Amino acid sequence: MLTVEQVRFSREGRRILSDIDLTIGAGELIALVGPNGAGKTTLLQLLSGELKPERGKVALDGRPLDEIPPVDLARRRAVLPQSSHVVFGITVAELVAIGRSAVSGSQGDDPVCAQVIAMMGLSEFAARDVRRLSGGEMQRVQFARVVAQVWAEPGDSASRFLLLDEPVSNLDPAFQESVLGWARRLADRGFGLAVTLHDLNHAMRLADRVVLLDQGRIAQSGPPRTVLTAEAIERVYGLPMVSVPHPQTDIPVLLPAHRDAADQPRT
Amino acid sequence: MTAVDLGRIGSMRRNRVPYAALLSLLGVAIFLSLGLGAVGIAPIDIVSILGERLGLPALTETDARDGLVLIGIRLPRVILAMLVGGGLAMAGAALQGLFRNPLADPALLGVSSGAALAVAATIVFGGGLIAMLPVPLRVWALPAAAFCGAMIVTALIYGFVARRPTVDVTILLLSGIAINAFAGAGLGLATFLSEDQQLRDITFWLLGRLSGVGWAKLLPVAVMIGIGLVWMLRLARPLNAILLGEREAFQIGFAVEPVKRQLILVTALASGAAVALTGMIGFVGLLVPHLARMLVGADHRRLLPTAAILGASLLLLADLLARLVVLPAELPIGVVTSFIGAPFFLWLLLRRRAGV
Repeated sequence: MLTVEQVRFSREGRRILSDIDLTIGAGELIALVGPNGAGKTTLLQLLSGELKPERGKVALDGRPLDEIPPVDLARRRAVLPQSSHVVFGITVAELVAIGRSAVSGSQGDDPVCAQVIAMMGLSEFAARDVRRLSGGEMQRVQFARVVAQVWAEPGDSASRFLLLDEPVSNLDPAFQESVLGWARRLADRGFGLAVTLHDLNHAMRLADRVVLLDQGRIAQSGPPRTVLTAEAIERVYGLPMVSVPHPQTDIPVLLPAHRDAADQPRT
Repeated sequence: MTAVDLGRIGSMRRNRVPYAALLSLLGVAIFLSLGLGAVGIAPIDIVSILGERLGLPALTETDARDGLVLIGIRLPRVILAMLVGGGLAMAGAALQGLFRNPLADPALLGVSSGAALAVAATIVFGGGLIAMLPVPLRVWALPAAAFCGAMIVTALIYGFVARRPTVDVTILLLSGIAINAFAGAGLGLATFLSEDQQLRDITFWLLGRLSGVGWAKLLPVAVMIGIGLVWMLRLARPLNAILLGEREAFQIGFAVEPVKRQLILVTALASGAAVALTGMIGFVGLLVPHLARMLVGADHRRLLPTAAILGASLLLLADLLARLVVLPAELPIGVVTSFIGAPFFLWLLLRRRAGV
C-alpha cells in the first residue's frame, strides 16, 4: 500500500500542497485531477520518492520512502514521465532493458523485458532506434519500460505501483486509448496506479477513484460519478459544465456549458 | 518467428564488441609505432628484443642500438600514447553520457585547459614547492595539479549547466569557450612570467607532445589513467540509465548523485592525467566516442571499452603521422589531432543541424 499522510509541501517558500491524505491499494487506479498548478505533478513526485514532504509521511507498506534504498523502491514503483527525450541511438529493447537494469542487477538478458515487450504488442518495434519513434509510439515504449521495471519475479507477491504523469497529454485519440487501456488492464492485474489526467472524461471512464485537487488541497475524493459532477468542476475550474449520459455506454460525459469557447467567462 | 525471437534480434543488433578487429588494429598500430621512425626496427626484432627483456631466448640477432631505441624511447612513448588516447576517449564517452550530449569533450568543455592552466601555474610558480617534496613524489606533482584543475572545471560546468533536465548545448559550448578563454589568459600570464627554460617547457607541452617521457614520469600517469579507466567501466550501467534522464535514472533505482560525483572525479582523473605529460590533445575525446557509437551503439558497457581501444589505436597512428611527416623533426601531436578533429567537429555540427 502506498500511503500519503498529512503531507505538506512547499517550493521556494510557496505552499504547493497541504493536508494531503491518500492511500493507493493494490489493483486500484486513482486519477489525480485538478486545474494547472493544483499540485498534481508535485503529489506524484512525492509518491515516487523524488521529493520529500516538508511535513507528514509518504510510505510504502508503512515504511517512509526516504528510508528505502533506491533499488528496493524501484522494484516496487515505477514512474512514467510526461515526455521523454533520448539523445543517443538505443533500441527499444535496450531502453526497456535499461529500465530493469538496476532491479535485476544485470542488463539485456532478462527474459522479463522481452516478455513485457511482447505482452504490450511492441515486438515489431524491438529493434527500432528510439529516436525514430513517433510521440505515441515512444510513450507506449516508455510504458513498457516502467512495467518491465516493476514486473515481479515468480513467487514475489508484494504489490507494485505505477505512477503515470499526464501519460496521454501529447497523444492522438488512438494512442490515448491504447495507453489508458493498458493502465486499466494493469490495475485489473493487481498493480496500484496513480495517474494525473487533464481530460476529466478519461478519469470518469477509467478510474476506480478520483482525487480532485484544488490549490494544493484535496477538494473531493471518491468514485468518479460522485466527484466529477458539473457543480464540483465549475467550483474548482471556474468553468460551467454540463454532464450528459453517453448515448451508448451511459457513463456521464462532461462538456463545457457554453456554445462557443469565446463565451466562457474565465479568461 | 515469434515475438520473443524478434525482441532478441533487436537486442543482438549491435551487442557484440568486435574485439578481434579492434585489438588487431591496436596491435598493428603498436608494431608500426615501435618499428617506424628515424631508426627502422623489423617486427621480428621487436618481438625478439621485448622477449629478451622478459627473459625469453633471443629469436634473432639484434642491434644493441635498436634495443636502446626501442626500450628507452619508443616503448614508453607507445604506452603513453595508448594511455592518453584511451583515457581521453573513454573520458569523452563518459562525459557525453553524463551530459547527455554528443558534443561534450574534455577539450571543448575546457576541462583540458583547466588542467593545462594548473600545470603551467605549477611549473612557473610551484618550482620551489615541488623541490620541497621527497624525490619519489616529485613526478606526481604535475599530474596531481592537472587532476585538480580538470576537476574544478568539470564540477564548475556541471553546477552551471547540467543540473537542468535537458542540457542546453549552447550554454554548454559557450561556457567551454569562456573557460578556455580564461585558461588561455592564465596560460598567457604564466608564459609571460616564466623564465626561458620554463617557457620552452610550457610551449612544447601546450602544443601537445608525446616525446621525451621516460619510464619514471610514466608511472603516475599510468596509475591515474588506469584507475580512471577501470572506475569508468564500473559506472557503465548507471551511465546507461542516465541516458534516459537523471530523474528517470533515480526512478529506475540508481543512486544518481553519488554516480555523478564519481563520474566528475574519474573523468577529471583520466583527462587531467592525460594532459599532465602530453599537453592539450584536442578532439580525441570527441571524435573517438562518436566512431565507437557508430560501431557498437550507445550502451556504455560496450561503448566505453570500444572507445578506449579505438582511442589508443588512433592516437598511436596520429603520433606515427606526427613523427614521420617531417622526419627527422616531428610535428606536435596536438596539431595533428586538431587538423583531423576540427573538420570532423564541423561535420558533426552540420549533421545535428540537419537533424540527422
